[in-house]
Amino acid sequence: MDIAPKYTLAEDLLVVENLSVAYCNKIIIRDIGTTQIPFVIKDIQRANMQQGQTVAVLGRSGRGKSTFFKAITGIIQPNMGTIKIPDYKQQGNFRTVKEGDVGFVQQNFPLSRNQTIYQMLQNAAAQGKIDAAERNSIINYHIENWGLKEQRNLAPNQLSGGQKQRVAIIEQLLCSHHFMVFDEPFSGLDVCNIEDVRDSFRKITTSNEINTIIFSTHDIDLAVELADQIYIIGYEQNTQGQFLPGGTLVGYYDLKKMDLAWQDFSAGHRDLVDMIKKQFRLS
Amino acid sequence: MLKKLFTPFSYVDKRTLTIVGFFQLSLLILAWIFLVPEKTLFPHLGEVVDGWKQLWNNGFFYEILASLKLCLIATVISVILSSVIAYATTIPFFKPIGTFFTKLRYNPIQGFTLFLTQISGGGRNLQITLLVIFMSFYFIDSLMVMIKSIPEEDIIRRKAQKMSNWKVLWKVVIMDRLDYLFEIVRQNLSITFMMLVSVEAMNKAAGGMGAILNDTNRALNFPKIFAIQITIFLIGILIDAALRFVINQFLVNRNRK
Repeated sequence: MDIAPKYTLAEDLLVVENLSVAYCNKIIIRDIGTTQIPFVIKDIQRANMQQGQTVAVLGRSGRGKSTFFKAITGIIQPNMGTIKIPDYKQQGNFRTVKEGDVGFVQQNFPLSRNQTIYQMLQNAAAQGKIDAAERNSIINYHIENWGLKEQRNLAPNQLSGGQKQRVAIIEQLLCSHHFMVFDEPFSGLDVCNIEDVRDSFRKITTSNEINTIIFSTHDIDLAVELADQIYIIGYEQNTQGQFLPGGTLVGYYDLKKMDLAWQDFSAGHRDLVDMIKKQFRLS
Repeated sequence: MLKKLFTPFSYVDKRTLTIVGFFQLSLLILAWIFLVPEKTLFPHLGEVVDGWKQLWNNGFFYEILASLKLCLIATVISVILSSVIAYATTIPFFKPIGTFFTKLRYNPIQGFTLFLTQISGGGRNLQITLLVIFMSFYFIDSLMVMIKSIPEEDIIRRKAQKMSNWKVLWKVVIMDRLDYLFEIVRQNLSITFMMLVSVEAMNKAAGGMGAILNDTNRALNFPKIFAIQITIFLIGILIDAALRFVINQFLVNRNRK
């Protein structure tokens, strides 16, 4: 019989409160992070290991997941609400997220056209204010660790999709450090590449206690398998059954509490997948 | 293979295409040699070769150099000016100015030459000014199209790397797409060449192939006109090849899969 892994929750790492974003008077997302469904990512602590956080954001197309991610990464400014992360310069304080605080690995893994992998990583390390003396050794460590030794002097158009994604991840690790958002990381990947991404997630979340991955996907099975908590973004319905404008949080599942986190895929995971699918249809 | 050559979207290897190209060129030359009637205004190949020899003996080489020098000076100035204006359109304040310049492509220069002569001082400077103005409108337009086509993801990636908007402009728009700048020059250089001949004809004292072509045209010396046109055509091909070589040195093209 499996014994559910024990864990405790420590300080808040990322807090989203009443977040709303609108473009040209059109509400894209609204009221994300309320008292009913708070969006708070806490530091998960497990004995004798580094345990980062893996958060999945699910939702049908057009519900505002990408906009939510752009807001979390500070790329767009919300019309209302706040996104806060700990201010490590002043212990105990929080500050509003800025561009670059949260790494963003986009769906198509865009890279520079005219730079080698090594040059791109040099740029990212410089942006991350990594000391010039240490830069080479840190970059070389990542290149080796992520299996890109042979590709270090290649151009992006010589890489496979999986390799491009790994470069995009290292770039963000070098300059954004602990928080990383992945927009549809499994979209368009073959089985082997999906396995690569799984490994990447594991590598990131087990290399530092604070490391936090927030990812979106349409693949509910993968989300349930990989995440320790799942948020559903969708449209709320009013009493007449009409959809209200703007995506918002319509569901939350804490896989830690459900004894499903960090476990092999089981009947419990299957039941959760079915539950989420039902919720999808209604939002 | 023959069927493939005449089927849309068929794959034919480069070597075969080169052979086909040479075959077509040979046919053209043979048709020129054998199908042009004896007594006609259309010059024979031998007459064109003779005309070219005469031109060469009268210092045609220096006229070619003069044209190339004018072309180079005007292109460099135009590329610098156009780049500054086009890159500045990423700053909202300058966008209407850039757009206005692109629309000026539709305006003829007639009526403005007097003002431009006064401003530039005439002579070689007028030629350069005219070329720069004309080329710049096209360069700005092409550069603005290139800037508009930059995917938002590229900009977001750099912003997520804590780069300021100015640094994003430098990295994403300028440095990462420098090969496009050369490609735009290559694509628009044909317009420059067409203009070059007209502009040189305006001030013959400065020489150049355009001035010679204008004089030869007035004298209705068709063998020489053909000789000059073929020379311009071949120089154009050479410049095009040289620019392609430069473009292919960029990492993105050097390592194309």
